Amino acid sequence: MIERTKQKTHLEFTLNGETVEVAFAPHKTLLEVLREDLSLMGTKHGCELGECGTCAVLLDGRSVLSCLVLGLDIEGRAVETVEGMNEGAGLHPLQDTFADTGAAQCGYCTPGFLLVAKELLKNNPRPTREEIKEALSGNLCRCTGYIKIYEAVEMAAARMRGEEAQLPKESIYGYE
Amino acid sequence: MDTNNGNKRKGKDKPLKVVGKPFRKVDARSKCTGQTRFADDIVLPRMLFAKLLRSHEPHARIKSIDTSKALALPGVLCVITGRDLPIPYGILPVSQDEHTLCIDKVRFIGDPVAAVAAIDEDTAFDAMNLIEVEYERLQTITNIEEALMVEEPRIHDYGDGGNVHKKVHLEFGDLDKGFAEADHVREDIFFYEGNTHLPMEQHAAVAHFDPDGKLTLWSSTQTPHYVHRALSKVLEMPAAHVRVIATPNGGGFGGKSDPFNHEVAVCELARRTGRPVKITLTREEVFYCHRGRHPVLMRIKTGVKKDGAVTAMDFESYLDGGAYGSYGVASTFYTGALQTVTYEVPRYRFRGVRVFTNKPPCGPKRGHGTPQPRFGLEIQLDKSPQTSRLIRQRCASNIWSSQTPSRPIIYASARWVLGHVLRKWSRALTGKTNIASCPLAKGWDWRAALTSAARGCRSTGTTCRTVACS
Repeated sequence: MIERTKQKTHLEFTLNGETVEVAFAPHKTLLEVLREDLSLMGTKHGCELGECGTCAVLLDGRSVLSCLVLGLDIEGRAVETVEGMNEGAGLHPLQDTFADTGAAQCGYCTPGFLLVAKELLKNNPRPTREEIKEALSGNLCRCTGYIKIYEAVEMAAARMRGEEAQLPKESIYGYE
Repeated sequence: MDTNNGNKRKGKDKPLKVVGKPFRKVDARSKCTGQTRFADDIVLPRMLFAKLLRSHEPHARIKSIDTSKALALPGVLCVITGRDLPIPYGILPVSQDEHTLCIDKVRFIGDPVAAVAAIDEDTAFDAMNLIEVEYERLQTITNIEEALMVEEPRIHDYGDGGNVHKKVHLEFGDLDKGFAEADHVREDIFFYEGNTHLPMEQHAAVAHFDPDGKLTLWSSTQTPHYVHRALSKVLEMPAAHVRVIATPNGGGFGGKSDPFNHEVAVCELARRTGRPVKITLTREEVFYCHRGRHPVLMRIKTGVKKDGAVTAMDFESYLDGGAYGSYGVASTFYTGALQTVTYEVPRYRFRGVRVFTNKPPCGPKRGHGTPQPRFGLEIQLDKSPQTSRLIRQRCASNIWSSQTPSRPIIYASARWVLGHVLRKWSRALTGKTNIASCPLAKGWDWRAALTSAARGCRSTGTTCRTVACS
């Protein structure tokens, strides 16, 4: 038998609140580790160049592009993906409003938008439309659904503050 | 009976249950939780990964392909080239001009020449780079003018001569008479640049042959039935033994509407290796798949009368089709078919030409072949003093007069559209949505217009005439 050196590295980190151990080829990005070695397919490949925001996850509570993070850099740190947003069997308010407003059209960019929006609302529970636009400016949606996305974030923010929030009339009947 | 009538009457007063109510999309929850399984999210046990070696030459004859080094790389299970799949395919029956992998020549940078299946993506990538291809360069044809001027070399051996893929012609009415009647004839040349769909999700496909020889393909496709037909043809399998599952698309916009090389290649690799095979294109490869909007060169000659009525229109379009047929024949017709739909054009001639060039093939993209001529035509009408005045006029009065021959035509509930537009104008001008308060509504009988619009809808059954602006 031919002598073969081990091809994988082994490390431990916190994933969606749980400690996990994972072995992966050391050149892999966080995106690849999540998808290929941990089977969490919610995080999507978009451009793999850091242009589109589709692969965004939260690393220690801050949004990062997982296609640009080396897997080796996550040892001992906390990663949150879209799979960790649910609260039990229910939905996070953002997931709820994204579903209600139709902010998720094809759904491919949605996980990235959700996590970046979650970070925004954690730091700024009462964001203006401009602040939401600024925060989400690194995420691309090709189905052109930005307005619904902004509305969904505004509605979720209101609900998370404990306020009553209904779907804006414009979201149902269109803008005059 | 009485009870029924009673119910009906009661029903009328009841608030509507569906209309005007927001409903959550049926698959919104799985999309918002990352549970939707796109093609690239599918993983099967013992799955192999495929890569396509793509040509770096825009136009060349393939002299030789040496796959021995790639096959010798540990972890490589199969390498196939064009000769392994000699049957051509294509989305349209009239242009079956694509091969899974190029056999004799490559036609654009990115045209695939070989496919590799290996135990992981990195090995497949390394193997791909070990394949040696020797090319003999041919003259590159880069644009519409070149394609029309250069007869040889031909990019394809079929078509309407030289590098012309297809010529089409539609005509009605006496054009010369129409131009003679016109007070003003305007002729312009327009060019509409091409563009691509760029969905967020790259194309991906997974093929699996079950032990009984039946094939299943999961693919990020908008046209599973066409892929099914192409697979059955190219792989020489009974259609009943092929199953194509269209996974949710992470955006398509028309760019995933052709049977693609990688879809056929993974099926053949799965058949040869007896293991599931997956391919996910890189972002760069998505641009090679393309099938985006055709660049179109247009010459438009329109005759108009003083009152803005169009008397005749002569429309020529030249489409840069790229290297393959794709939907091109249909796209070419589309550039000429809809000029007479929005304006009343009594005499019309359309001549269209689609050419082959050494670029990724063009195809359908949102509004397939129609935004290009629409752009040219609207700009020309805006530039002509007669028609631009008409556009303003039609927004003011006279919309319904049959004496205005160039009234725009729209297929819709005319009454609704007119009412909608009038309300918008009123609001813009007076801040009120009351139509009667709109200054534009003064001086003509808009109530009669609404009624006649509604009647027009019913009587003609097909077209009613109303404004197309909003």
